[in-house]
Amino acid sequence: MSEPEGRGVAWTEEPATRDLEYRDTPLRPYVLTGGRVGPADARVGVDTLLKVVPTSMPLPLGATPQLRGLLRLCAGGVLSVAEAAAHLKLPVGVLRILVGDLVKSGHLRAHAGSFDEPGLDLLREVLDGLRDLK
Amino acid sequence: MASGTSSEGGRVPYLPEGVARTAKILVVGDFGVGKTTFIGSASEIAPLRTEEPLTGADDLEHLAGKTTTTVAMDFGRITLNQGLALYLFGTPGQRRFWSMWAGLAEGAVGVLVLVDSRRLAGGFEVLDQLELHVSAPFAVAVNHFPDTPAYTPGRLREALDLLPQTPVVDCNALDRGSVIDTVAALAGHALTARGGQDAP
Repeated sequence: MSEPEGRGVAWTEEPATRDLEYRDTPLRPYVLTGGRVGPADARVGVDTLLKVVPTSMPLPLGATPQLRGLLRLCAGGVLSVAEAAAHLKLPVGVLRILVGDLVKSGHLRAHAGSFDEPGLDLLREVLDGLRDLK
Repeated sequence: MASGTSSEGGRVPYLPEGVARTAKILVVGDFGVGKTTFIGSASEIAPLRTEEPLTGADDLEHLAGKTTTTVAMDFGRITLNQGLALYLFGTPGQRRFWSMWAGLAEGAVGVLVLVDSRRLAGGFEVLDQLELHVSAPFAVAVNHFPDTPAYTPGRLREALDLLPQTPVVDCNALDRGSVIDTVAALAGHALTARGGQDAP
């Protein structure tokens, strides 16, 4: 057995692995929301579920391609905000604003999501579910 | 009307009918520690990635001509029963990415700190942040690489300066069973830490 180095010891990042996880980009994603930077609906989180509302109401003529893309994606089934963001290649922050727009216009319903500390019943259900996978 | 395709044209794995509730777990760790592998082993869908700008909304107006730093967030999904889906979100743990994962930890079942015992120091900043700022319960998972030093749990606990109640779990991020066991260990700890009884 060797000795692990202790916490509190100075360390350096390894540049080789860095750019796998973050990078600088000229992209300014909030252009995609028409310049708005929020506030997004506080009840729309990464694991909030999105479901389309059956309606014949068309989107406004000025609706952005991103807004139309999100509605088209959600028409296929239920997805979380994070999944929709990944499929549309948009940051979650941008997606939350788009969701807010579509909820307000009556095209999308947003429900569920973890905001408060989970209750014991939910924790037990998570644990049981994980054990059942085995 | 349903196209069911992503922006790349691939088929989208929608949630099963009936799933109406969600829970989330955070997997935080240093670069290269195996977060994405870990999440991929547990996930029922191919792991997904989003790129999140680090900059806060307030700063956006002053960004003309500047670049934005984006951080990758990898995640996966496990449908636990007919009504409940669990999401695993992976983010790098460095202090400067704190603004990103602090919000993610809110409402989470718990936080899993993935460490590589060859580079324990990579976990220190994460643990400091967790102990100081996060109320969600957390556990440490040591990802085993082929050349991983074999420390006893006691030595690891000492090196990481962990509180006695913080679980330390050995895992193999490549092995689904091992990863599920590790996530279950965190869920069990989260249950007892919040006063519940773990009765398998």
